[in-house]
Amino acid sequence: MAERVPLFSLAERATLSAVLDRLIPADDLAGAVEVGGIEYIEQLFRRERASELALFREGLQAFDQLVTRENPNRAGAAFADLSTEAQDHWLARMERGELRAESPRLTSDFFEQLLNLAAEGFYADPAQGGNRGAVSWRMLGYDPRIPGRRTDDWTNRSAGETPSPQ
Amino acid sequence: MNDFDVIVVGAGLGGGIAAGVLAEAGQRVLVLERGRDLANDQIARDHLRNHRLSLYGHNTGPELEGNPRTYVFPDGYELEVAPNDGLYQNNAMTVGGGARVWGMQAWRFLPQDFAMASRYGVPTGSSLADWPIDYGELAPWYERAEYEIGVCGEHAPERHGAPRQRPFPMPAVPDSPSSIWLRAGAARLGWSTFTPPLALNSRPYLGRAACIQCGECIGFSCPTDAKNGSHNTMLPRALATGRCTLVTRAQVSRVDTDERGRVIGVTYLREQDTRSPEEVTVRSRSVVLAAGAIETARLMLLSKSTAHPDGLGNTSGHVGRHLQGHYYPGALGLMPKGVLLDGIGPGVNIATTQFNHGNPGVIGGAMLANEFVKLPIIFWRSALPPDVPRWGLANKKYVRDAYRRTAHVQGPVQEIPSPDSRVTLDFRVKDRFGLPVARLSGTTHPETLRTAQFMRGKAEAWLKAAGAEKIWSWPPELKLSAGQHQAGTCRMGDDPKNSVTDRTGRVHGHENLFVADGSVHVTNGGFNPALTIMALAFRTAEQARTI
Repeated sequence: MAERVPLFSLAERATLSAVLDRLIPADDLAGAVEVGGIEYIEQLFRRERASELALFREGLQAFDQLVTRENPNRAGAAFADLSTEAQDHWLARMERGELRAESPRLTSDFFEQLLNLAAEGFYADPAQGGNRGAVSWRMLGYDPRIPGRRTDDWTNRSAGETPSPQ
Repeated sequence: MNDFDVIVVGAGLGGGIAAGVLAEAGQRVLVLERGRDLANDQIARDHLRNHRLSLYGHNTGPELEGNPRTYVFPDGYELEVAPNDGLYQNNAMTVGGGARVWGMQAWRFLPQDFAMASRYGVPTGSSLADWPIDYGELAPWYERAEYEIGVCGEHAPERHGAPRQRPFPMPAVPDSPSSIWLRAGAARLGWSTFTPPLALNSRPYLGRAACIQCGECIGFSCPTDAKNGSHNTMLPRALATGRCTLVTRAQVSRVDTDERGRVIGVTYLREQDTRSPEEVTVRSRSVVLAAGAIETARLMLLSKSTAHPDGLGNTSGHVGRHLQGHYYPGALGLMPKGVLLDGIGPGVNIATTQFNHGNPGVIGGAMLANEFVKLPIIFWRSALPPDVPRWGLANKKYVRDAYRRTAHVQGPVQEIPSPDSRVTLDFRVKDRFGLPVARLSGTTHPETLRTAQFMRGKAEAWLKAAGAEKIWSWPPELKLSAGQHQAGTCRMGDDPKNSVTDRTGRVHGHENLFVADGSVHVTNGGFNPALTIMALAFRTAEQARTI
């Protein structure tokens, strides 16, 4: 189906995955990507933010290009190839607005967008495409006592599928 | 020849009550609602598109497209805003209005709340005034609302401060770890507390089921219809008489008057799926406006005519002014290990009115209560201490540890109104029907911030006394305040020169035009205003019966 065509190139997806997993890393529980963080973002851009997709992709491309060009230790390495410490360093610089001089897309606002999208895909209801199996709700002990919509009710559903109301 | 005896504009809390009272009194009633008639399961449970967090949309009305408002920042910058933007000051527009998705706190104001100017004086630049009626006048109507809409609560008039005769029709919601913990803290401070009144079926009532304590309450509709408003009480009663007609997706464009200026009915635009809107003119003996403080004022301003050049009922120039809502100062605290929030809804189950009045150096005050069960994404966005890392493993670990240990205490500050906080018409920005939209400008009076800052300190003190390991909060900022508690834009008063309606809610100079929503509030109490809106709607509807 046309709507299942990926919104991001493989390189963009690799950058976005690496970013999301530094914003909300895996520990003994899944991180942002494993719970469907990218699927959440794709669903959002398909649903009501289509007009912002191009700018968002430009940001991912600019970030990767800058890192590839300026990484002093590993010339030619993409953001996704860096050590987690180096990735955090670049993200923190973007958060502080320090990359804006390098690329007009790499503002602290772009960082905030990435961070908010990561959190939304991790903590919002699983019907949005993220929070697969309600992992974050289980982590927090959030369990709305609505028949058919309890945290356990999400366990065996595929991402984005909504329980039928009862 | 009239089509109806009365036309009610808006099917929210006030309009539904007016329709019920008037239809049961034998009148032929037309209710016009601009939103849709949504069943509970049509109001989405989307955590990012609801009335507690509306990042990308919301779950009632109005639609995001074609319904803008203009928001004017304090520096004069004007921004066109959509209904899911907080600056829009949306209140759910659907049959039932905000009560479809509300937190159900159903407070009586205190006797002192009706005489703020007499008690505190009028600060320079404010339009603080006394109500023309006192608590004793409203008390029986409060009671009627509690019984006919359905309110559960603890009968504690001495601790609340508002005298009451009968207990609530339903018992209060139960305690939880947070209320037990906070009650102990309040006791250490010598503060009195009680279980707040909620328009919630704590047991089956009026033919509907009890709350299942789901915990996904405010911002959403109720899965068992235990959340009470006029949509599941008075409006169904109106329709059951066979004398009430409800028309949805109907935007009233003006209240019509004859050549002498007398109200004769309304004109509305009815949206249809496949055709362009149909303009309909209806005639009635009287009209009740209940569209909320922003849209009621907008409609009166839109209804200008030769006889009413400044808008209907606006010879005083007060229509749209004194727009107010509630500042909500509060604080969050990390409860000690071993005290865990249980996630049992709704979550609000302890309050104090110790600081609604009598606070040294500030005007008025606020009720303080604990908070609803928080959605995880709302917790992440707005409940974390400022010194916690904003991302990475440290953030995740903190959220994991703190989610069920974070208590939140907050309350609605009685605002000091400003005449410059107001609704006007924006003739440059039109809605989908081509009507000028509401333009919101001004701010609350700076005195409101001083009271908010005072209450922030009390919220912190409560958490500290209860034993919080860490406490955090944010300072209030000067801004326009209206939101879901919007009020004040058609204030009632005895003098037609400085008020819009009389003490009964009847518009000055108009025998047959009434206002039955928060617009008539002179001040908005240090409480959620819905029960006052409901009590006044019952009272005003009884007046309208006589037309």
